[in-house]
Amino acid sequence: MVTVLAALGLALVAVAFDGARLGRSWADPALWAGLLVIVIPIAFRLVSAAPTRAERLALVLVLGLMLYLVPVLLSPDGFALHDELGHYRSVTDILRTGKLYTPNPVVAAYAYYPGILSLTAALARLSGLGIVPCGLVVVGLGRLLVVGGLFLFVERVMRSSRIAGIAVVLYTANPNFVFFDAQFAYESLALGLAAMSLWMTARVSDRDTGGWTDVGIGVLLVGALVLTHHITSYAVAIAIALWALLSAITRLRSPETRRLAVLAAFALAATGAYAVYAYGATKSDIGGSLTSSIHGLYQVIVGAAGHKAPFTAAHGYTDPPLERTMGVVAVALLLLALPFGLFASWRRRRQGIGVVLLGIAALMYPVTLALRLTAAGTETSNRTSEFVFIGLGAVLALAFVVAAVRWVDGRRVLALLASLLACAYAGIVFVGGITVGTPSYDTLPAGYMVGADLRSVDAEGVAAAKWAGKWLPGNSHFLADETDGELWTAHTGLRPQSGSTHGTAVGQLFLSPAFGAIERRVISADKLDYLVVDKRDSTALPRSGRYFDSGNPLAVYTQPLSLGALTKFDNEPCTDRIFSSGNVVVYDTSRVVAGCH
Amino acid sequence: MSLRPRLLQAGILTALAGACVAVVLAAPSGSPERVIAAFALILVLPGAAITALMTSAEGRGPAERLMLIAALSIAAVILVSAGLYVVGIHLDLHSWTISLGILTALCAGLSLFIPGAPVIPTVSLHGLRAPVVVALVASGALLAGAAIVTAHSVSGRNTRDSFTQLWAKPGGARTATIGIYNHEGGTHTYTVRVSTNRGVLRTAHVTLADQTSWTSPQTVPPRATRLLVTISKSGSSAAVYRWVQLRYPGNGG
Repeated sequence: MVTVLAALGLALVAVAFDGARLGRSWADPALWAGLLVIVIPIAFRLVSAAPTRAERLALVLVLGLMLYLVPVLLSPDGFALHDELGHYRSVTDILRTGKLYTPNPVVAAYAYYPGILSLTAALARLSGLGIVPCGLVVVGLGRLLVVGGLFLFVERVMRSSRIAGIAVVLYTANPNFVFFDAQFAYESLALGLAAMSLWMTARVSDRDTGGWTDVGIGVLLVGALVLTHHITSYAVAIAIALWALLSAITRLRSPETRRLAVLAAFALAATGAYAVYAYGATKSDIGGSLTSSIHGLYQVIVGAAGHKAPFTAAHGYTDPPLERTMGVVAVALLLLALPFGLFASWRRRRQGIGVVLLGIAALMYPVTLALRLTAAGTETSNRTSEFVFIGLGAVLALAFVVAAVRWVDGRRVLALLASLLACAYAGIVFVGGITVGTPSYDTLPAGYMVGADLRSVDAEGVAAAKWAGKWLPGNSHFLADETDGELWTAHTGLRPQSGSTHGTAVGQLFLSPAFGAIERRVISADKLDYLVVDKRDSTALPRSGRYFDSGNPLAVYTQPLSLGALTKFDNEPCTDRIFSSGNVVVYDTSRVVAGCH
Repeated sequence: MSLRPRLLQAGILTALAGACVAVVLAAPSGSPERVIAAFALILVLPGAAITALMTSAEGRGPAERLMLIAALSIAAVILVSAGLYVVGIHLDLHSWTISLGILTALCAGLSLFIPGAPVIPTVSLHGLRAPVVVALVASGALLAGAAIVTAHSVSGRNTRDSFTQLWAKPGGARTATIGIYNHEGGTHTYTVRVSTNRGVLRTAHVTLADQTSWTSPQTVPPRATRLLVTISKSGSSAAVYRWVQLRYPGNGG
């Protein structure tokens, strides 16, 4: 029955998305209703003491699968997000060259962590299917490993399948679970491998059932994880090392400590060695983000800088008031329950080191929230939620079950009331999690929007990129706005240009009202063979706050780009207008590079 | 586990791996049999063979072992791909297929020497009651309904997002390729007008069904400094619908 309701919820989501594509106003409430119909009945069943262990495991797998299918239904005909398009390019590179590590022009780190890339490429090559269906299968499998692996991990640590089931429900409330972690990207698969690695670590540390076979499996899983995603592999290596350290402190000469030490040594060595190898590709991605987050928080603390309003995007876009309120209420509810969870896990600390580690992870939640006071820290806070919520979900589930066993179970009316309250809690933190992690315009497939990730990808833009892949020579350089740049990078062998040249941001090419010496210099210095103009950039300000991935000439745009500035190349004798599909126009500027005046 | 069931298990795994390798290498790309064989060879068999090496099944029920099979298969493909790359082997159909087949057979063979757990998880359907079957069928029907609604919805959106692509791609010294691609969601007749600064070169009427294209080579006369290509669409008067142009500076007369 619960599974039928979850399927009904997904069908409602599909209807909501159809309504959004037709511009219906009921689409938004229908989406939230559908999501809650998926989550609430499963949560209701899992908080109950009645289900068997097998049923609980089946329910968390159904929950994970149904929530995974939500973003699939949102964008079913191809990859559209920044990370997805970047990974698509790297899979194409592997299929084209037969080699790993071809430099990725979107994010250098993608190519250095080829786990999901090689798996998808192998699946596509051997089956003959396209990259998109194979990618969807890979990420879907990763999602099942996330929820199933977390269930098994928490169950082994807490010794309760009831706690494990509730912990997984609360884990789905992490801001990235429904949308971000379901995209075709390295972290989506890595989280599945991480959950299975943690389960295996818990098995290794078990005096009664653990063995060297588990160490061997753990080594294989961690080895694959190291090749799949940097941050996730660091987090897992640190967790295993802490586990081994605490085990050595408490039970130095025990067999489980020896097994844990071997697994920890491998995890630290493999992760460390590979981090050194991939340092060049990851230093700006990880180091820059972390440093600016900490620096920004320090500036706020010492009063050198004002704080930003929490739960608004860094660029100032703000969700509707109701959704913002839900986000704030969800965070407040989680913080309110956290002390009870920490207290419950402290009382159970002698049950095993895993309980202590989950408590430490949960304790990190308020710390990551503080990062949201800075613009730079918001992204870091969001990206740590996948790890922090493992602990948070587990300790809150522990607190609930401890309370239920003591005061509620066995009293039917009270048990029903407690279940309803727990479901309301789960529903609010789930909805609030989505509103905190995903801008509202990206949750529905309504009409085209400027600079709005998924909403900026449409058939015309994709068709233009595919045309370029067929007709323009690979390895040429081009400049486009952020969305067209990502589409062209994914579907062609061309190289996007960004950043600055001689102190001039490349985006200046599209802002200046006339074509002059500065524009010629930028085109020549960056060897720009093609300019891709999307005339829709002149119709609205970008929702993301920027028109270009990097190389934005202005920190803040106060008005849309001028149509005259975008199309000034029409009258320039050294540029050719070689393509037009109405909104998208392509200029060939290779003669300017060759010195045409 | 005694030798006989282990022998049977290793034999089944090796035979399945061999069959999958044969189908993947011989069947047409994208055919159902090849898709099934490829998915089995990548997502099931390597993990199943590795779990056959496990010495203890304690604490691992069928569900746990199924998840381990998937996770270990994924890990195996990732590590094998990296290994092939490191030793300089091209990652292609043959190298992936043969290496995964060998890995499966090797682990299955090694499992003969290890008293491991039964590898194929046994899921009992005994006790599956009618309400459960009805619930599963109802869930399947609802998911199918969601898929149909989505397919219809996306198809409708694509029909509404109609456009036509026009291009003029420079070729050699004074040649170009002119092209049109119809994404309008129906058949249209385009009037193509090719001109230079010295006059009209040609006018043509091109009828294209949805999702079809037309290309044509074009030579640019020696003294022309500009090639202008315009199209107008049937049913939209004589207005220019799309235009592109190529410049040939320094050649003017």
